[in-house]
Amino acid sequence: MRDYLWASPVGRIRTIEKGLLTRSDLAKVLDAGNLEGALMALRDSFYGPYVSKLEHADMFEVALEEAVKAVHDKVMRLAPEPLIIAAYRARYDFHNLKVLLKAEMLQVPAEEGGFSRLGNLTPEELMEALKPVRQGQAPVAPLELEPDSIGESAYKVTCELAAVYARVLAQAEIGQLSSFEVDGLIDKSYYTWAASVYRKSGYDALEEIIRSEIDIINLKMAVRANLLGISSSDFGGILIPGGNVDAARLAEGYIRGYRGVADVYKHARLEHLANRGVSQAQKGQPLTGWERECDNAMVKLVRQARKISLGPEPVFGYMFGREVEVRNLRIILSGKQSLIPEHEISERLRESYA
Amino acid sequence: MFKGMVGSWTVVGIVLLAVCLVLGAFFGEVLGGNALALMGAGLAVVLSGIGSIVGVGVAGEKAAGITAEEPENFGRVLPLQALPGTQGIYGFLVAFLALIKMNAFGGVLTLTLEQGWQVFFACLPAGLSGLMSALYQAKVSLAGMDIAAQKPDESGKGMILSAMVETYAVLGLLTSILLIMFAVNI
Repeated sequence: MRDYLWASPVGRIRTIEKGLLTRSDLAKVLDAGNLEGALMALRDSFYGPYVSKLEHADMFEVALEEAVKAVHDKVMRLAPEPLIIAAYRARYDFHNLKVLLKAEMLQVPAEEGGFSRLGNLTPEELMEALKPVRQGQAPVAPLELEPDSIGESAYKVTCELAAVYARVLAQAEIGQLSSFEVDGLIDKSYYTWAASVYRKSGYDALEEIIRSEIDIINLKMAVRANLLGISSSDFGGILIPGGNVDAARLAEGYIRGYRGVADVYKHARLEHLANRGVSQAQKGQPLTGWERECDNAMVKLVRQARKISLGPEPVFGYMFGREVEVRNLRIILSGKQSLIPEHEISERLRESYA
Repeated sequence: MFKGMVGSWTVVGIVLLAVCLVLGAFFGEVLGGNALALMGAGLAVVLSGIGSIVGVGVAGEKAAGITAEEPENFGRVLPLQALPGTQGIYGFLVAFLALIKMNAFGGVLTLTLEQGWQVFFACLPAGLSGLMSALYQAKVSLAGMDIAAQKPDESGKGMILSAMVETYAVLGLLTSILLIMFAVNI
């Protein structure tokens, strides 16, 4: 734990995060009559430079992705311990790995549009890095690796991706893996690795964030899997270990159905959320509202980072805050594009970090 | 408890103090009263100095980060950076008074072992309270800078909050001064 290294980045982030969109800023975008108007409302914000470059309003997704990428890049440049940021960004690399693996298993070329460009590696770099793994070799290390550099953290992510890739390929050789199983294996690998990175870093708040994220993901999976009637053995296979709620206990609770799941979360931080999800699923109500509550719970948790004045948490919080903001903008803009009424769009919005 | 900036430098301070105490306890007879007294004066400067160096350094880094984004905030964050620096001055003041009491500027030092220990312990309140208060004051200053960065008009409140920690550094200073002036029997 070297929190003192983060003093300057936190100072910068504290100033920059004033530019996060507030509820009233989002309301202005929402109030716009159409998609063009909504984009116009963003011109004076952080998104201005990205939105103004658009040739056509329908291409707003490009602007949003560029904006998030710029945030990630800036945060990476500021971070004295880049691995902490790289571990978060790696979720996009692991997503790309899923796309790549599924395409390989189906023996079709990977769909360009399926890849995310927000990871530590571009999809092209990822494909290149995985080439030696197919021949049973480790990824090629860069010639010079400075400790605590962006290059070193990217290499660590690459090695982890390569290890997961090799593991999934090995499992696929033993028996046919379904797309669902590939997703489960990769998600599990990512969160296990990220949790270990944050645990080793010594920053308690970050570790708590990832543990709670794992709890929320497991809870969502438990409710959805119950709804879909997935067997307890399949469910146990995709559960992510490392959360505050023991994955083995959740697997046991899952056997007893919805009530069993809710019981596992009793006295835990997410008890209320678990009860709500279970009761909605039991009543056969749609889970979209509840899933929004899960996302909001995550935002509330990360928002605690704003109270920390030294360490990576505020920087992490800002990056997370921008992503939540982009998710909300995406909901508004795609809603405007599809001519969905404002009140319906508004109901879908997540709580903002600002 | 001993994690992060405050934790690790507190450990450094405690280790330094422990080394000095062990040296004094086991080699006091060899070192003599003069050495013990000088060690105490030195500790007052070193302990409070560590607190101030770390505090002002980290606060300065954060102030630089804020100023890099909004240069007009420089005037608001500068006093917050300076606040943890006062403890170092208090430590120096105590050491200076101890040296005067020991007659270090007036001729040959002739302190007995007992007198040496008296000066040593008289210097500790300023040193220890200086170390801890500077580190914690730096933490409050860092939080105060968050106020300055986000709500510049409210930055004065951050300064008041940080200044509250100063009280205990001042109490440590006064205790050391009183001990040196009236309790040390030279």
